Amino acid sequence: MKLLGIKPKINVLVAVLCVSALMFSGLALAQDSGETPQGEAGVDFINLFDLVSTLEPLYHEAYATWQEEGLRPVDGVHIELDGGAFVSYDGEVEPEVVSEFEGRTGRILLWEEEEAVATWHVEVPEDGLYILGMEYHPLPGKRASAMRDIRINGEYQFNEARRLHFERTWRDGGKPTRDNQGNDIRPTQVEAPEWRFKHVGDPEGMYRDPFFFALRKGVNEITLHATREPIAIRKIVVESLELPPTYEEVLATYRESGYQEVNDVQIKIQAEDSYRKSDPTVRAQFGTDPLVEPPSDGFYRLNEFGGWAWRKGGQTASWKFTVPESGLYKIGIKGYQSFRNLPAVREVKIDGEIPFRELMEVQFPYSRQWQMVQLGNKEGEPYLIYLEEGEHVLEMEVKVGRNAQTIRMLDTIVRELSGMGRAITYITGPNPDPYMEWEVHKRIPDLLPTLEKIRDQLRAEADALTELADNRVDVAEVFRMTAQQIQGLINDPYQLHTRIADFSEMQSRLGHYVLDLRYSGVSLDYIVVASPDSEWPRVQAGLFERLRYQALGFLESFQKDYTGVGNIYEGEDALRLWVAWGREWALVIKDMIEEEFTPRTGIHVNVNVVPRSAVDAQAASVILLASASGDAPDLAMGVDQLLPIDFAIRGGVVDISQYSDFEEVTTRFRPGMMIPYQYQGGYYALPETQSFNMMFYRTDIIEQELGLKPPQTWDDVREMLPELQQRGMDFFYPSPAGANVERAAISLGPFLYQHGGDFYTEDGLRSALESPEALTAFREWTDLFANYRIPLEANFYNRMRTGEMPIGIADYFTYVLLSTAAPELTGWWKMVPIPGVRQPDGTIDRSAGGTSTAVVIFRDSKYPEAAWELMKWWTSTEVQTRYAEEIEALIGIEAKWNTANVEAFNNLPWPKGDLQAILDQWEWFREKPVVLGDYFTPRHVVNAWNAVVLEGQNPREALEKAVQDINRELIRKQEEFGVEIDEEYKRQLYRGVVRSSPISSSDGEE
Amino acid sequence: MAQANPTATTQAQVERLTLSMRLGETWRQMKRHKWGYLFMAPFMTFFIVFTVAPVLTAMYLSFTYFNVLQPAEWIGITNYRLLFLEDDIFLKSLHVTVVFAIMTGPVGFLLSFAMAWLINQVKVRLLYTIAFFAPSLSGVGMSAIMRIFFSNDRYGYLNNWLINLGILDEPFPWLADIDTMLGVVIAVQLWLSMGPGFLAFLAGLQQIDDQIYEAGKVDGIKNRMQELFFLTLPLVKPQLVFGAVMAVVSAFSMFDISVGLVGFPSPQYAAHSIMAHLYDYAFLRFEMGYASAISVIMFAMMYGLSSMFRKMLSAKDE
Repeated sequence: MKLLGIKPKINVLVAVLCVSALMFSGLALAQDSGETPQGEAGVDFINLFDLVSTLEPLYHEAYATWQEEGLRPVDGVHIELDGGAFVSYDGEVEPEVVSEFEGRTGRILLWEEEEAVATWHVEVPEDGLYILGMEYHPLPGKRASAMRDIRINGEYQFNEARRLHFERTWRDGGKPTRDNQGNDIRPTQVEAPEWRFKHVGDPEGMYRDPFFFALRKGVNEITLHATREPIAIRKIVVESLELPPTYEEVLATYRESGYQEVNDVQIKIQAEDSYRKSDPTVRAQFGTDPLVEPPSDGFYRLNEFGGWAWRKGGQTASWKFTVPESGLYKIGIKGYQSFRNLPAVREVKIDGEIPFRELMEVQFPYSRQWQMVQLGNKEGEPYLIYLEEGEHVLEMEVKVGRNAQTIRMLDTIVRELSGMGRAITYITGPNPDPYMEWEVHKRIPDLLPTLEKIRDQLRAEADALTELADNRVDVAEVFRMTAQQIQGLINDPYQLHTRIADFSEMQSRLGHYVLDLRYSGVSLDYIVVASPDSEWPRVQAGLFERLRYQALGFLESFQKDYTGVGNIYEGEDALRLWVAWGREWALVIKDMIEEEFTPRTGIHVNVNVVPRSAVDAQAASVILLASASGDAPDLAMGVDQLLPIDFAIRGGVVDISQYSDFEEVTTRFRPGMMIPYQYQGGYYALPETQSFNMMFYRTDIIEQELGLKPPQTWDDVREMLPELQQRGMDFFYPSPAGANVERAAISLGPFLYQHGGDFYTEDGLRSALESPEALTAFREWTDLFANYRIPLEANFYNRMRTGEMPIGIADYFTYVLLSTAAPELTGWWKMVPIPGVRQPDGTIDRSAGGTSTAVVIFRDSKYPEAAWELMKWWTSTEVQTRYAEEIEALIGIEAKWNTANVEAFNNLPWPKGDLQAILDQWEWFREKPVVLGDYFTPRHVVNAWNAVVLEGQNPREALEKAVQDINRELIRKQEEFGVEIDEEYKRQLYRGVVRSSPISSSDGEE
Repeated sequence: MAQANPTATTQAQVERLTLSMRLGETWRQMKRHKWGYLFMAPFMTFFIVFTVAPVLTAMYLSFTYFNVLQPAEWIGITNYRLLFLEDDIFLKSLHVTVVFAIMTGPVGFLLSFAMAWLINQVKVRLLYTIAFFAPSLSGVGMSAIMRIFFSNDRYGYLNNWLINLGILDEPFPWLADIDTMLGVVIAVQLWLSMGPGFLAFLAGLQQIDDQIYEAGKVDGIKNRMQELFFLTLPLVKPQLVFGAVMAVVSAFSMFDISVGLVGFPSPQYAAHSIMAHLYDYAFLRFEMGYASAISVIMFAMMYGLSSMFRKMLSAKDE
């Protein structure tokens, strides 16, 4: 009887599954004959490690090799090379060498040019391992840190040598000010360029010591290649590694010199008042703990420092303080670290020197509470540090510490897993017959031993981490789980070919930690420099203090305006601006308005943050409801591309072409960019940002492993596909099989435009998808999925990293992802314009569409002229450039502002090669016009795609059906908005008679 | 006629008089029961403002052309004419909704009752209750997870399992194929929506006094089946009615889940419910008048169905 309740549920599910499985099996049978996976012929034994990677070794691997070769760190060497003493320089312009720059003299090289290469010669006394250092000064550029890669005797000795950073120096532009709501306004971040000396080390802080380079006895070549940003180089230093002394040794010298402990001194340095930092995103933060100084009292107060923004290896911050008398002090840091349940590590320097070895890795253990981290030994005794009377600078740098060991292990494992996955696919093909006995573990002799090794490594590491952290560690659990999964693979080696996906799954799971473990955020409240006899201040708030604070915050929440940003003008004439970007974005916009716009024009602006969905065109969005009730703002930024025309046809937005300087303003954008905002001769919005697809590919796989060139045309793509698929790899093209119907037009766009087709006839009254060009385009497009069987859906970024999809087309947000979240690929991928169609004259048409966001003025605005002023100011080159810089400086490369202003875009800190690729593609940017009833085009394009790709319908019929549906809706909407229509055409349309090419017939009518 | 005039006047006067008398009487009655009205007032206010008024507004708007941003314009029954005579997609959506309603309404209703009944028999009720109720708590956010489960990609759970088991050899697009789309939406909806009805049943079942079952045994009930039909079902009738109405209402207003899973509008309208159709006209095409007409039809259908259910279930014993 108990079955009674369960049965129906199971039945339903089973029914659903069975039906679809049956249908699918039919489908699968149908194509089995056509597609044979690469058979067993030709492949015998595979040496796993041939396939593991073509990347250079990582530093620790290179170091291990040197050890084997008997290369040892040298002693007592210090050689200085002048920056201007290079032996060769390869660039477009000869660089300038000056004898004096910013207060220092010498032969200083002013290296302005990107992509240029310079070489120095250094003569060393013996074979061995040396470290390199550089005295440099950043030059005015695009505000990013400079990058150089280093070759020794023409070779990258390890992968990390491709991305060495030389940071700029930043400081706060002043003390925080307050807005009229009593909240702190963040000071701007200003560059404070100065001469710095830096030993060349890991850009991610993975190693405690600087990098060693292997040099031969005699003359060696050191070659630097400028990948980003200009710098001035005064000296390049080649020397032996000298570690700082230990605390014991230092203490002994203190005692010898007779230094005494000071008495009764306690100096508190508020961490938010930092002196210098290497990165503008590392800055003061808003804190709410009751004991944080100064207290927030229900306002936004900048009273903490760092946090999650201060997490990346190499980010430094420093503080200035003055001690009243010379003597021995102790130092404590009030910090908060609940970002990860493993300790975070910082290196501490005082006046530019590490006082003793123990301060190279100071740990901030995990805790849900604020804690006083004393610089001292494990027994709780503070280290004594000698400070002269007067000013000092304390600097902290993010180091990865113990995690680096885990990361290196994972890194190797991930590469091995990737190699194994690829080796298996190499034997079995991407879709192996599950019933065949492939015996992959016999053909790849290393397979099982490697799996066993990985399993043991993971288990050992999990135990080590658990012991270290003294509590449950999420990472350790993941390791144990993966070890378990590997055990499962080992237990049943004959089924390995059915579990290829396990390899990539484990790979991406562990790969996540390769990246994630590098980061370790710490928030600081203050630093205390005190006499050893003094007590540390209390740092943990009591229960009642916290309760009181939370109660206050709760009460406060009833009257606080959370959407307003900065100064709020009540009862005054002020523009109401909605910003559909995040709060941080709105804050910068507001600051810039207060700083530049209001003083110049006298127009006050109230800024409100609204979520993206509030300005959606096609939804019950807040903006729609606000407009309907007459409560719309004056203008909005970041609105959906489709909204302006949707509102314009109903008289909801202001026609900006009425203003006399409109023509002039539009020259800021590419001509095609205004197309989606035009309706019946009027223009209703200005573009703000834009985005389009680019092609990304892995150079190591495509060029080196497969010996292919990036495809220029779709024919090239089709030619390359079998090569890829044979090896279990694939090409990525965004399909419309997702939840977002709007993507359909962007997906079809390139094919359509490149074949000379278009979405609508010139008058915008009929669909042009029935033209022969459109049909060709549609065929090619659906063919990719239906016949070439590229995946309908995939996470391109992840599979690019694993190498399963070494090439594909994606939004250029992928650029941001790859450059921030895939450091291991640095230098191994490229972004290029998308493939096109070769035209009769031999050129390649690469046209494609994209999306943009817009700025609009609403009908109910009382001050449309003032709103227009603001709109002009906002889209101007200077403002867009500055905004893009500030927002990227504030939030990081993740917030790359892809401005629609062409000149401003050119000013942005893109590496030269990438900028060129984007500009090349931008030349081909083509917008789809927004016409009456436009939303039906993507909808029915998806339907047609669906019918062809998934149901195997004839493309011509599917497209004809789509065109008919689109045309009916177009004419329906035209009728609604009083466009004069051709009654005869309409009758035919509804009877389904219109079959001939509408392009030719409509041409005739006009 | 001339003579009739005075009489007519009188009659009118009388009518007016009686009317005012009747109004006066009502007023007196109301005054007498003022406490009753006072206690009813909060609910009535909200009910009128947020339920009655919108329904009436929608009815009015369904006879107009209204594009949200400009004033509404009276166009008579045009909207209804178009809706029934020319809108193919409406018929399609009606079909989808009916299939959906049958699968999730009655089936879901029976399922949740059966589940409640089964769980009521076991000892650790709380655990099961939470397990069954949790999905409906998580609501629409769950469709994001379900999207991963049914993903069209090779790494979607379902595809991955089926590929590992050797049933499929390349990923099947569950959420894009028009033949499976509705099935997936129904499965997810069943799983999500069982919660509330199930909870009501469980509460009902737990209210039943054990003495009744004991008395039943004395009167000759032989097995659990008889117990179910003769005692349990009649006793939980109020919960049954509630559950039925809930099931129908939720089946008809199905929208969020299908949007979350297969997008809006769904490919080839394969999971296009009436609600989706309404949304399409209201917020994509800004044809509020037409959308109101759809909503009025929907309202009528929902009202009719739920009162039918109520009648069916209450007819048994009266």
